[in-house]
Amino acid sequence: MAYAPPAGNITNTVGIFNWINSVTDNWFFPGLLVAVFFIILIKLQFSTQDLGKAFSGASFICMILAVLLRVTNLINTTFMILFIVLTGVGAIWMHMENSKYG
Amino acid sequence: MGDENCMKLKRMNKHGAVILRDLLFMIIIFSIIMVLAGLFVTNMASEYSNTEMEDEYNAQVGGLSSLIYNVSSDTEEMRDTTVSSNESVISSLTSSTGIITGAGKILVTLFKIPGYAGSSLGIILTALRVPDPIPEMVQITVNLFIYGILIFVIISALLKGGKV
Repeated sequence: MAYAPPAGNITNTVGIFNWINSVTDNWFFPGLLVAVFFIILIKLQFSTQDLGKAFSGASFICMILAVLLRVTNLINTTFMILFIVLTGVGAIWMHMENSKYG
Repeated sequence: MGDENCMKLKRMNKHGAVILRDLLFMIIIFSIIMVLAGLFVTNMASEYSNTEMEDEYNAQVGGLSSLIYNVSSDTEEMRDTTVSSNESVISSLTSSTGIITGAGKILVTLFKIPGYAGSSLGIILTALRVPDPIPEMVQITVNLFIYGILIFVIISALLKGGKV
């Protein structure tokens, strides 16, 4: 399957990223972010043995990445807000585990 | 491992395990993260001159900045009430009516604070493009739930029973 070539000369890294995103119907960086989230989640789960901590750590890192990607117009706002909400949920989860049930 | 999980579930299912303090902590933590994340996003958008994000977040309808706008305008009002304006609590200690007005404004702001949890949820749902009446319904339901719990707890505390 042939993909559309870049519209002009690509002069910087963001240009390559924009082209990659455009040929994948804006799904490349959202998919990459979800993959990074699960990789960090599994790694932190193995090292901490605590799913609440792993979830909040992974969602916090992905929230920062999501904001950076949104600033460069590589993902949409809904995805960024999703990771912000996940960070809030992770913080509440960690608080509950630490305070009473851990 | 299985026994530990079983014990943990038993502890979680104990009657009255989650009390009002935990609920308030959850609401405070979630609201703080929303506000800080909103500040982070708006600051990044303005630093990197992303006009598309600025338009979205300056629209005051949906998006996280409307939550920040509400919080900051209420905080400014409270600051004016307590410190800077002519009717502030500090400057009106000598007068008889100003202190009542200032204290009343502070009390009204304090009573409005639990409403931020519901409004932040409603704003998030609006930003996630949930169809129109649902965010408002969720917001009203959460606010009614929180105020209902507060009133119930205050009444039950007066009747010598503290837990929800």
